Amino acid sequence: MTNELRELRSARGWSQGDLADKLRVSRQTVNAIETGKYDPSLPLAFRVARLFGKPIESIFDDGEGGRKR
Amino acid sequence: MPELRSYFKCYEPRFIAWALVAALVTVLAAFVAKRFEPGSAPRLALAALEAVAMGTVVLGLVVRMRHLDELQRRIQFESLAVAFGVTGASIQGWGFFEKAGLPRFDWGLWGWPCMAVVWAVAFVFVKRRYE
Repeated sequence: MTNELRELRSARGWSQGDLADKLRVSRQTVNAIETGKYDPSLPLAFRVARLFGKPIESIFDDGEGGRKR
Repeated sequence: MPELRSYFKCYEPRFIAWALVAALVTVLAAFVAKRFEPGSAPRLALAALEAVAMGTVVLGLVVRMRHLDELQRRIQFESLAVAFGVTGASIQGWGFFEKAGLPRFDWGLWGWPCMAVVWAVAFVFVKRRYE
């Protein structure tokens, strides 16, 4: 699964640590999600979506369909 | 260092200290118990002490694990699965060697330390997969 987490975070000028604090996870988890080594759980994906004010499918792409903008 | 510390949230100093005390109590009780007849009251009491000590360690570990985030928990569980498999295979494998004539090994006493060591080693490798 690919995602736009790094781009969204960078656009807001947040560090991985800042985003981790906002999502109440560790910085390692944010890094693993950004590098595609870990797919977040559904509750965490929802928290990410709410934080950035975007639908989940516009942030995460499972490769089965085009990512919505 | 804070990064590494966050992975070891479940190994807080207090918990580590308690686990070491419990391990010491268990090993000491095992050696002291040999002075008493099997089935005697002191020996049974020492066995109960060992079981309670180990039980509190497991409880403490579960409580600490609940404070981890989802990725950290996954890493710990994958490491635990490896430790479980390796220890189980070791016990079973050694059983075959015992039947073939090798000396008996006290897995009741050393099974848990063995699992803990494998867990720690597995943790290092599993963590790397997510870095």
